[in-house]
Amino acid sequence: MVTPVSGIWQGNKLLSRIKTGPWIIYVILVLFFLFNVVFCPFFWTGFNISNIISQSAVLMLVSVGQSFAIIGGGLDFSVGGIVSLTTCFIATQMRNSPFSMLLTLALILCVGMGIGAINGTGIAFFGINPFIMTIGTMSVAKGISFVFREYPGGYVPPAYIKGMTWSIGFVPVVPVLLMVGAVTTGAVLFRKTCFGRYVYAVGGNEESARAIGINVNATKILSFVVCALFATMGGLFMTARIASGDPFIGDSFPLDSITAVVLGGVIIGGGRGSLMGVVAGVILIGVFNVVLTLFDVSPYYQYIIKGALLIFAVAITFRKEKREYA
Amino acid sequence: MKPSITERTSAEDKHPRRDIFGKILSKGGIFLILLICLFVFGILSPALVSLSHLLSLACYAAPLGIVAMGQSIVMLTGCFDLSVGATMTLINVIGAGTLEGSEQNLVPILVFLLGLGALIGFVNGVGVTKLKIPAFMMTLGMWLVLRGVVLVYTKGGPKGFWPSSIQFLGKGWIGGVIPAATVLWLALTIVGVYLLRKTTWGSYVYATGGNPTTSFLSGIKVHNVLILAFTLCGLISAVAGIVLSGYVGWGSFQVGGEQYLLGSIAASVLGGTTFSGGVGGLTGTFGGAYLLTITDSVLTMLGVGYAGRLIFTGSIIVVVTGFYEKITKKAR
Repeated sequence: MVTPVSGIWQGNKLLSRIKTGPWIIYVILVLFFLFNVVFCPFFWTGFNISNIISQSAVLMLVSVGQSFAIIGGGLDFSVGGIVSLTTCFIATQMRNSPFSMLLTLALILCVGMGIGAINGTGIAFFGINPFIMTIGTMSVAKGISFVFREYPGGYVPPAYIKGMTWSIGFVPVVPVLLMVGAVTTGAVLFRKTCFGRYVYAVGGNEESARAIGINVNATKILSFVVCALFATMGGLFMTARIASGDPFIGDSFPLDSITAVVLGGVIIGGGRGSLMGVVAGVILIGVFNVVLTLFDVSPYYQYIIKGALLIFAVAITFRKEKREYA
Repeated sequence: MKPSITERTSAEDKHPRRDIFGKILSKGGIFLILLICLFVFGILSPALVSLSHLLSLACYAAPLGIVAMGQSIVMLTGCFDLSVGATMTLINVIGAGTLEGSEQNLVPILVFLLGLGALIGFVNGVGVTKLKIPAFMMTLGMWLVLRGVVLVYTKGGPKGFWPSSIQFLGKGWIGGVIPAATVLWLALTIVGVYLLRKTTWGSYVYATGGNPTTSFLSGIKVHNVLILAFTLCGLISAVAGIVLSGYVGWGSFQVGGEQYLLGSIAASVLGGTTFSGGVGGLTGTFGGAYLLTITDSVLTMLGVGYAGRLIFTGSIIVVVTGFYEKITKKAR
């Protein structure tokens, strides 16, 4: 069983941080980076680095949200559906006026949070397995995005695209701001608010959390709402990046975000891990995606490599924990 | 997962009335719903419930029903298998690619394909038990790997044909009376029910799903039970892949896949196999798969597109699971 409190705050802070911290993933990341700089001529160019940053921004947003779901003891598959839904909604409903932009943005954020609330309610009050609940809502969200757009396309106001992808020289300002903002918000929520600590407590041991008077159901619901909110914001940026709506664009996000979170040392089942590792996990996957293309590996092999990476990551983290029988 | 160990109990204590309610729902409820649906559809459009139409639907439902059996067995042990759809696709393209429509080498290739399915399941089982990876993570990774293998093998295009004997298995009618696929589906269901209800392994499956720790402490080799369940699921997915290939007739990376993954879970849930494991059975799954296919065909007739059916399947899974979980909770 997972011990109830995350190890980060116990004992000698610095020492225990080094011991429990996600340093392995940073070592891997740095080595992988150096390897690419040496062996891949195009890797260390301004264009490529800014490309990696823009590509990772969406995954970063989604993964920060996913950490809330996973650390809280759940799992969110519907993030992919939410990203697809957001792109399709924006690409069909947004008109070229400030009022329409604000309205659609507000609407889609509400819809995203609504999906999160449905997830959380089903999981907390009806006791539905998080995986099944969110795979159901993923399917529903994907279906709704098909209602808006059956195939990639649509119209996104140029002003919106311009604003979302604004960059100075090679530095993509908005993606960088989004990433930093998401991680900061997430970290503050986790470390400085009651809600964040409750998420750890509920994920670590639900019964004890209930026993000490934490409102477990509310915490669960809120963690899924936060997760869905981050996914929606990821979708908003994605819309600007692809300048269209695409019902298939979100398909890779559930898996990528879960892999990133698990690579970052968060344990499936909840209660352990931090955003520090998740950041490294996201960057690793982002670099990985780009580098495979640069090395001219067929995109079809990416599935195999990512699947193997996922199994590997989970196998490694779960070896640390002793489970009773199986 | 964690809470399941302490929270698992079937709907079998205290309130006798609720107990009966739960029992009816988990044992025969699906057939009741099936009858009601048929009755309603019959009123709406009498042609729908004619025997020949129901039988051809049963032919169409066979691949889903067969793969749902495998899924149910794994779900009874308290796990999932997400790689079933991808296994079906893999079997479809490899069979079509190697056979190229000829009857030569049919038997060895079929044996190879079945072995391949079983091997995939075996690897899943070993990962879940020996490497202690959560089932959905392990099978998720397997799903991705298989999808990659399929795409690499087909290069993203159509690949080969299946010979006419397999096509007969998929869509032929024995003597013009009953579809061959339906017969196979029925036979496999009977074998599966026998395995689960009459063999020691079957009761071990229920015990493991009900409470793995207790089962382990009472001497059941939980690991072996799980590995065998996953292997069987892989094997059954391979059979489903072959039947589906017969129905489709050609090899493509788009055959099978996500639709069958969601469908197999939905059919199992509809049939009363809950996610907490240890409750349910294959007869319910049979009805669940059939009901799903019928509603699917009705939705198609009403002009509901892919979008509507995705929404429908997703909602079914969520609503029915929530419903069953409430019933089992109340019964406790």
